[in-house]
Amino acid sequence: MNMKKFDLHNDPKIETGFKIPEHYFENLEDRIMNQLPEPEVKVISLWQRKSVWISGIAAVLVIALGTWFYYNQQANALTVSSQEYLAYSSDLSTEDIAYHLTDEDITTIEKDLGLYDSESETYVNEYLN
Amino acid sequence: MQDEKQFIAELLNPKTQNEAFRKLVREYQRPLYNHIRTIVLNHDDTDDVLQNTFVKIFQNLKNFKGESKLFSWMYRIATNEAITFINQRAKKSGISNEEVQEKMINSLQADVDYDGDEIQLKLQKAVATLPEKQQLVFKMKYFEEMKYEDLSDILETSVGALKASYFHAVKKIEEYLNTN
Repeated sequence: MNMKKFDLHNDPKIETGFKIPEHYFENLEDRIMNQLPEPEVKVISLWQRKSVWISGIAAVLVIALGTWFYYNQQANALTVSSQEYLAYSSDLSTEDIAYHLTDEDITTIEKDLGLYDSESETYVNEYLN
Repeated sequence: MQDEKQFIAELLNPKTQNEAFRKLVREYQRPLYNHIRTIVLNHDDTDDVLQNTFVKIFQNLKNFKGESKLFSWMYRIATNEAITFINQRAKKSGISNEEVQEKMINSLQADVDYDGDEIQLKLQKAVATLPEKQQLVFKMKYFEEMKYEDLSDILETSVGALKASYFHAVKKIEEYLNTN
């Protein structure tokens, strides 16, 4: 007996034979929805919030350092000019300096340097006598 | 078409996105399941691929240009996901795609989610002997009963080429069925 030849166009359709577990589609929608990534919402990240504070602190530091540096430079300028003045002044002789000093100035300097006291005055007087 | 544009706008709007996507899943979960199942054969694998497909669809909605129908675009993603799944399995096992398919068909008889008779199993084996593209065309035309125009949009192939492909596929399958 000859077997009937297969003719896919004219024969009844041959199904796949696949079975789908009962209730499979009942919770599929929820399972899929739970897997979806969260919608993108534009938020300022913690780092961005922090960066505002960090920028502020950095600005204050820059201003503080700048101010300190500026005044420090000014002070240096004054120091330098005083030193330059003294260097220039070293050309003056003792006589030149003494010429500009009054008797009171000389007495004050002698006292400050401890060159004059009552004992040494006595000694000097005795020696001279 | 206007309705589809409106629906796509709802899918892209964060306020309506959730509800619109639920609607999309409800409408397409069964046809996409059937489409993926004809490629990967096993229910559990189909479940994994189907979920990945919907996640991919969601993630890529913003890139959907509307050049094809939403339906075709989704089928294309599902097809790619299913084929990628088989490729990955083949790579993991160090065997060819054809060998993976053969293994999948051989395990069908013991599968609790398969109750095909002898002829139905034979048809699955016959389809597996075809080149990948012919398999796709045959499955989508014969099992899923899709129109050539839709197939053309999904597979980005002309209707004429698809008809020729289906004709060859049917001939080879009939020959297989009549000789095995």
